Amino acid sequence: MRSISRRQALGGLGALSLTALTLTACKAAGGGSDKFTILQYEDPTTPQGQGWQKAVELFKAKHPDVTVDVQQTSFDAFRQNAKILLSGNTVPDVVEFNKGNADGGQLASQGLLEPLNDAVTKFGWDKKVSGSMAAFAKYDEEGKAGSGDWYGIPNVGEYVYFYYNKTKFAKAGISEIPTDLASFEDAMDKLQAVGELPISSSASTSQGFNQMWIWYSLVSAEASRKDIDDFMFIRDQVNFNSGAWKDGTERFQQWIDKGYIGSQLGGLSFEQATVNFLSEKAAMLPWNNGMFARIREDASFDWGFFIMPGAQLSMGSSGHLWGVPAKSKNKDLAYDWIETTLSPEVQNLIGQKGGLPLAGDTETISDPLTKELTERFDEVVKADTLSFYPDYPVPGFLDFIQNHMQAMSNKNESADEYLDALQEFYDKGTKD
Amino acid sequence: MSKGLAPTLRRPSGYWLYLLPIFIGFLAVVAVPFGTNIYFSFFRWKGGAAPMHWNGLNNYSTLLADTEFWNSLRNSIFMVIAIVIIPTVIGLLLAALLTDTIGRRFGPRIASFLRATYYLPQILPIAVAGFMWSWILDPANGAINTLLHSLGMDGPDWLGNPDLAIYSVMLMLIWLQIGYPLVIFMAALSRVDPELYEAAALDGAGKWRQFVAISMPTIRPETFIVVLTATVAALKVFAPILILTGGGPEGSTVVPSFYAYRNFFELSQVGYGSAISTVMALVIFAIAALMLWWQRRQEIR
Repeated sequence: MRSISRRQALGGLGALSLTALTLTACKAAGGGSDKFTILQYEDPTTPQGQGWQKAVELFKAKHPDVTVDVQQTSFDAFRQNAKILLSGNTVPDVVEFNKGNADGGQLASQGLLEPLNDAVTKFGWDKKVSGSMAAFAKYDEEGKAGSGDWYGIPNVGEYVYFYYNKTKFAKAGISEIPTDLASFEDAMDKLQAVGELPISSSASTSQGFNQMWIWYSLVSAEASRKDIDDFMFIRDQVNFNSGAWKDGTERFQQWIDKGYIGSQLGGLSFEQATVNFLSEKAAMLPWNNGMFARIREDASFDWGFFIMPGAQLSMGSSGHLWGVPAKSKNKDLAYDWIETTLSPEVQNLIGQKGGLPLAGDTETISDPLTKELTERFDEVVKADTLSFYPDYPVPGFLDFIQNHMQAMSNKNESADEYLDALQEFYDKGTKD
Repeated sequence: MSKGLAPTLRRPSGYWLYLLPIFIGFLAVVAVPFGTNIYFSFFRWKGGAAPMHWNGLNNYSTLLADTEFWNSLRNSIFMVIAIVIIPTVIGLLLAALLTDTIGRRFGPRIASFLRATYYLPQILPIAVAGFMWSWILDPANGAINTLLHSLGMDGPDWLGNPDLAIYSVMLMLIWLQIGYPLVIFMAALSRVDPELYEAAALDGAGKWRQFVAISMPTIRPETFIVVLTATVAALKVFAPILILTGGGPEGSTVVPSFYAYRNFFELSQVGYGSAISTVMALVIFAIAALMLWWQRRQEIR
């Protein structure tokens, strides 16, 4: 097959399309040596967003002669335009990007991001970001995560757990948080016996992520580090019809059949599942720390949280990453910006707000509940038991898994049928 | 004679200068991107700075055998029913009712107020309308199922059941669309000379007969425009699918434009996505051309 470069391809398309591309790039980017452009998509009200505002203050104080231009975009907009934007001539100096082979991996392997190895050594970032938190910061030549050069630096982490309604647990006579999967199922039987729906979930292909997270949490619960790493980093052949994959998926089907997760989930989004939990229509909600502030603000009942009981590994990963575009004109400033976001002032502020900082001091958190949340997270990171998110390894995986979650939730597909389809999609996707 | 004609013959060449901006605009916004799209459809390409691999007509031959694409094309028929056929018929009947009965009995202000309420969904941002409907159709707490529950019935999972979801999407689209034909038809009906109705009434024609024999033929040009524009809109419907179902459940509501989008952005198959877009553009051109040709023939008759 004949290969031609993008430049050659565009050459044949006439000046107009080139102009259009350049205009698109200029519009979203800054440039010039006295102007430092940061392109990111965190909401300024989130803990991370607030931390970064603090970082801008510190950065400006350190570099009074530099004009700092903080540009706000959205996650989807950047995901879709990153390749075009970063291959233009005028690019931002530092960007926030999504983890995973389908996103960061492609940008890295296509030479659009600068390898950060020297800066990592110089600033000692590998001391702050290590283990599973560093896994999606490195990509090899093919854009596969887990090894190779550093291309991104995360600031925060995230993990998935169950929010639970303490009143409903008490009503069902559950006095202690379950300690393993068997006692968890017993607890859910007790909830059902008193007429309570155990888990609020969702499976719409449009934002209905809860079912996918429950399924993968159940796989993670019985998986070993090697099982997950083989799957995530495309190492050894993965046999989905065995071990934790098979057991977890079958257990997931049992949960559907037993009605632990309710019915009619195919049309529900995570927002609807959250509202159902908040309006006390279910005893538990599986979600990550991104919902912590919301639950705290809106729940009118006594609540708590726990990780999947007895799980060997649990869902979670580092947050999104800072990267330096290969064509950035201010790379040294970009490294200094990343260093600023990892500074104690910024990290401890993120921690205070419940943002799970990677280099913060948990002891400085004054609020007990936020401190508990952060301590749990520190424990799983230290034990290296995070299993990441299931859609990272293959482009298009999110869509694929979501469709099958719907089919299983609608009882139109069995665990075995799903696992066969999963094997086929994964094998094909990882070969390309 | 020839001297007299000369200036008029020369004049059109000056007009070309005025058409130049439109021509440049068309080239920049339509022709070049469309040409680029066709060009990309002959490659295997992940997008961005990734290398492009020449793929000949392979994307098109894959498309012919792709059941998901044919399924999406079949779903377009449902979109035509929901955006063209049902709203046009309802819009026509409502327009007649508002202009004739309500307008005459309660005054034109009431009629215009009602027209505005029917038109409201058209000016609502599609994202807002989509989220609103996803709540209305929520199986547990949605308005429809709460109503059914109060009547002692268990409502279905409107957007989650693969046998039902496409009809639920159609329901929202009908609601969204009705205002458009209604407004155009009401404006068109105001053109009809009231004396025609009076004469027909004197001849003993009832309301229905007047509607069929006077109103409908008079507003035929507007009907054609409504049908043509709505058909094109139906074939490229995208946002409601993205917001309401994301193509699910189980792929039952995928439409061609959404399928192309998924290939572009989710699966990083830019060449294949371009092939889908090219085929759909050609289908839309062909259908629009056929309708225009048919309309011309009707006019000549």
